[in-house]
Amino acid sequence: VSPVYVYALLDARTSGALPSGLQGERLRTVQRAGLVAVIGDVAKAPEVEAAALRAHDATAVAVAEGAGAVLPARFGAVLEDEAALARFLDDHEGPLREALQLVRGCRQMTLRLSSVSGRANALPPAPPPEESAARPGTAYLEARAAREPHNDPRVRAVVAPLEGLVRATRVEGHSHPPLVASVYQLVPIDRLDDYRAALAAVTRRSPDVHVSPSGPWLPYAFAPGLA
Amino acid sequence: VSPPPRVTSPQQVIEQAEASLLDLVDNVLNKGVVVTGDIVLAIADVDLVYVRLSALLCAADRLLPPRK
Repeated sequence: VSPVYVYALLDARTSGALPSGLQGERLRTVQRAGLVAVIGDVAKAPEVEAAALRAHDATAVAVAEGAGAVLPARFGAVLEDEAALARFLDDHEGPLREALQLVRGCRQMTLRLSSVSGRANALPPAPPPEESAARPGTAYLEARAAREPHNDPRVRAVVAPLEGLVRATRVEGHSHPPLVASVYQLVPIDRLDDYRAALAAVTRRSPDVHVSPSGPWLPYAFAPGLA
Repeated sequence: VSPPPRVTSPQQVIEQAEASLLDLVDNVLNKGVVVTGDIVLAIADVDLVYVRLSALLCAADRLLPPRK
């Protein structure tokens, strides 16, 4: 019985040779419930340090080279043995397969949006009680929807022109100015160049918000339970 | 005599090298499939590192001079 470290989940066995793992271990695959897990046999958990984080990501990227759909695992979890991994895959088969279907052939682009004016929030405040008295439930829900980060006009100005180039978008609002939101977009690999060109045009005409893009990343932000 | 300290604005830090580390930390420690089961590693250690890094990055945000 050996502890196993999980790097990524695939929908089919990768075609290329597998890289070495964080601790130089030889990687191998485990197939279960229609899923493929890429794992390494490790003696102990890796230390949390920048080099290890980079190595974790680089290993998952190398694994993804030969695969159509890849979900990278979060850093740091070591399962007691292969049987524990099998139980995890059995228990989460449905959501994992749905997520793999979503991310197939895609990479994640991340956009950090910060306010040029320094304002934390451009969203409308909650309506005063007298305006919402007639239909308080509806008014409450409408006001709440308007305050969702994806409805922030600064976020809409960046995201809307890109919608035709992305398969999915996820927005996280931030409460620490000048950061406004983090936008995670799932972009088909063959549309990445078009996406970059469109993003450059969007950022040129969005004076209220500064956009810091990064990527392409593996689709970390589209793991089950996150998207 | 010690050399004058190199001055780097928080904006430079965020937009240059640290931006990629921030994204790396956000992805690798805060996103991705959470594999759970009979876990050997104390996940609390990882969470603690992430909380510290988040606090550091938020503190850097607050150092930014207000823009007019």
